[in-house]
Amino acid sequence: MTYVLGMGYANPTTVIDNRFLEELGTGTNAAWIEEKIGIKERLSSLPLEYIVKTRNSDPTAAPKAGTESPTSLGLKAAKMALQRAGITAKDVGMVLGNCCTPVDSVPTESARIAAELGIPQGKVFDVFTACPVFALHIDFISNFKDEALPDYILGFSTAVLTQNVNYNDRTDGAIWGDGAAAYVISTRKKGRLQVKHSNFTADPTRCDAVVVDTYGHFHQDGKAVRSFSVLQTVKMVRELEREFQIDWNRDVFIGHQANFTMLRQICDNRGIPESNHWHNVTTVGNQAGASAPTVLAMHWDQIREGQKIVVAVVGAGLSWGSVLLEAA
Amino acid sequence: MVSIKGVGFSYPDTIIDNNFLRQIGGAEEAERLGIAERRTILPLPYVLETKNSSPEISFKSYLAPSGFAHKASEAALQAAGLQPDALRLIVGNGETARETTPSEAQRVGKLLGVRVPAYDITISPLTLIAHLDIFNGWKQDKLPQEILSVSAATMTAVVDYSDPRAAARFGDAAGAAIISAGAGRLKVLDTSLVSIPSGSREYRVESYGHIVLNPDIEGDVIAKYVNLISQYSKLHSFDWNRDALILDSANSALVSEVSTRAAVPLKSVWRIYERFGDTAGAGLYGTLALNWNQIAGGQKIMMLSSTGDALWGAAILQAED
Repeated sequence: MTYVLGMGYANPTTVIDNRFLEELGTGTNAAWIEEKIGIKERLSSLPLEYIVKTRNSDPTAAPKAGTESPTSLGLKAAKMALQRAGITAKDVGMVLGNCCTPVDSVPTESARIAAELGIPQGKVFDVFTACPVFALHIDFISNFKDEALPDYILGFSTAVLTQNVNYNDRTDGAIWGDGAAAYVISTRKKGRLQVKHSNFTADPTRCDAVVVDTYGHFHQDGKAVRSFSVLQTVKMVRELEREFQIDWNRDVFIGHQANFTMLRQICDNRGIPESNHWHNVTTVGNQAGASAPTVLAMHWDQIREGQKIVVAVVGAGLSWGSVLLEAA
Repeated sequence: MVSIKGVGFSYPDTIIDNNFLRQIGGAEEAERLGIAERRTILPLPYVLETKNSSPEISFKSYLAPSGFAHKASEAALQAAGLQPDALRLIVGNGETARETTPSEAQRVGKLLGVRVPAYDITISPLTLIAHLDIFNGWKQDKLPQEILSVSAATMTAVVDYSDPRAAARFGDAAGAAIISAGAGRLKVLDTSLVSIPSGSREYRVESYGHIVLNPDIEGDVIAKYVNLISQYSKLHSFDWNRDALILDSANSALVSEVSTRAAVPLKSVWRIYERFGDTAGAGLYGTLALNWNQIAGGQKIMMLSSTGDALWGAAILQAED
C-alpha cells in the first residue's frame, strides 16, 4: 500500500496579469484570454521589466535574469513536504525528480536538490515525463517490492517555463507560470492520503505535439493537444467513477492546470460542482508537472477524512495518468 | 528476475583522432588516457575553426542524439530477435537532448512507431546499471515482458575544444538494451545503486554551456572500483580467468591502476574507450554490445560505474549456459 504523507509547493511572486499581456502589444487582450484560456494571472520568475524589454527572445539569458531557479523552487517545495510529513531530509532514502527547465543536464535536478537538502545517501534520479509526473511517480513506486524501497521517498516536479516562453507569441505568454511541487511517499509508513489507484501510459508517436527546445522556446499543436486532453481526462475520470464509487458531492477532482476552460468542460461533462473542483491555474498559470500536485499541496489543510481525490492529467509526451487518493 | 536479451550501439561516422588533436590541443592528454579515437557529430573543420565555443550552434546545426538512439534501439531489438511492437515500456536518458520536453524515451518511441509507456530515468552516466537496479527491484507481476532501455548523448556538442582534457576524453554514441522479465542471454544476478548527494562528481554539463570537468576525482573513482571489485568478486565467486569486468568512463591509466590493485588481469577488462572515448551513458551498453559475440556460456560479467564520491553502481550478470 502506498501513502502520501506530506506535500509542498512553491511559486515565485511576480504576477503576470492579463492587462500586462495586453499591453505587450502582441495582439491579445484580456477578454480573449479569459474566454479562451480562463487564466487571469500567472506567477513568473522573470521580472516584468525584463519581459517588456526583451520579450524573452533569448531564453538562454533568462536564468541570469530570473528571481528563482527550478532548484530554488524545488527546494522550498521539498522542505514544506518534509515538514508536513513530519520527517527530515536525513530520513529520505530515494528522490525522484522531474524538470523541463533544468539548471544543468548533468547532474540531474534531483541530485542538485538532494544535495541542497542534505540528504545523506540514497537512490537519486529523475523520472521524467513533464506534465503527468505525479501519476508517473506514484505508479512507478507502486511497482517496487517493499524491501527494495526505503521508508520515505521524496518526489518533486519543478520548472520555470516562463523562462522558455516567447513573449512575442500572444498565446504562449498567457499559458505558463512557474512553480514546484513536492511529495513524501511511503509504502511502509501510513500517511494522510492512501493511494487506491495509479496509472501511467503514453503515446510517443504524438510526442512532437508539445515541445520545449533546449535552446529555444516552448511550442505546441494547441488544438490537437486540447481536444485530446479533454477527451482522455474525461475517459480516465469516468473509469475511476465506475470502479471506485466517486461521490462528487464529497470527493474532489484535480485536472491538469493547462487552461481553465478545458477544466470546466471536463467538470461539466462529469457533473463535478465547482466546490469540488480544486484548481489554481487561474492565478498561477500552467506549471507543467508541478501543476496538479501544487493544487493538492495548496489544499492540504482542506482535505477531509474519507474524501477521495481524483488527479487526472494529460500532457507532454503525449503521456497521461491518473491517481486516486483516499484521505485517512 | 530480469535479464538482458540484446544490446545495441550506434555512433557517428566522423572520427576525432589524436592527429587531429595535435592541431587543436589534447593529444598528450589523449595518450595519457589511452584514447586513440572518438566519434563526433561535428564536422572537423568546424571544430578546428570554432573550438565549439557555442554549443547552441552545434545543437541547432548538427545531428541530434535521438537518431543514434533509434539505431541503437533497432540493433538491440535485432540482437534480441524482437520487433518494436514487442516492447511494453521504454525508459531513456540523454545528457545532450535538443529538447528538454518530450523525454528521450518518448522521442525514441516515436521513431520506433510504438504506443507504449515511455519516460526517462536519468542518472548519468550509470544509466544501464540504474535501469537494471530499478527493474530488479520491481515485483515480477509489475514487470513488462520487454523493456527498451536507451541512452544517447552527443557529448562533443558540449565539449569546449580549448580544454584539452575534455577534447581528449569525450565521444558521441548511443546505447540500448532489451531488458526482459524472464530468461535472456544475460541474467541479472545482483545490482546496486548509491548516491551521496553531497559528494563530488567528475563533471557537470551546463544547460546552456559546456562540460565542466573536475580534475581531482580520478583517485576516488579508482578507490571505489577496487572496493566494489573486492566486494562483488567474493560475493559472486568471480574467476578472472573466465569472467569479465567492465569499468565505465574508463581510460588506460585508470584501468591499469584498478587492474593492479584489484588483481584483475587486463585481458579480463572489456573496454571500448580506446576507439570511442567517454560516451557518458552509452558506454556500458556499447561495451556489452561490442563484446556480445564473445560472451561464453556461464561467464559472469561485473559492470561498474562511478562518478566519484557522489554516485556509484554495480550490475552482476551471468550468461546463460
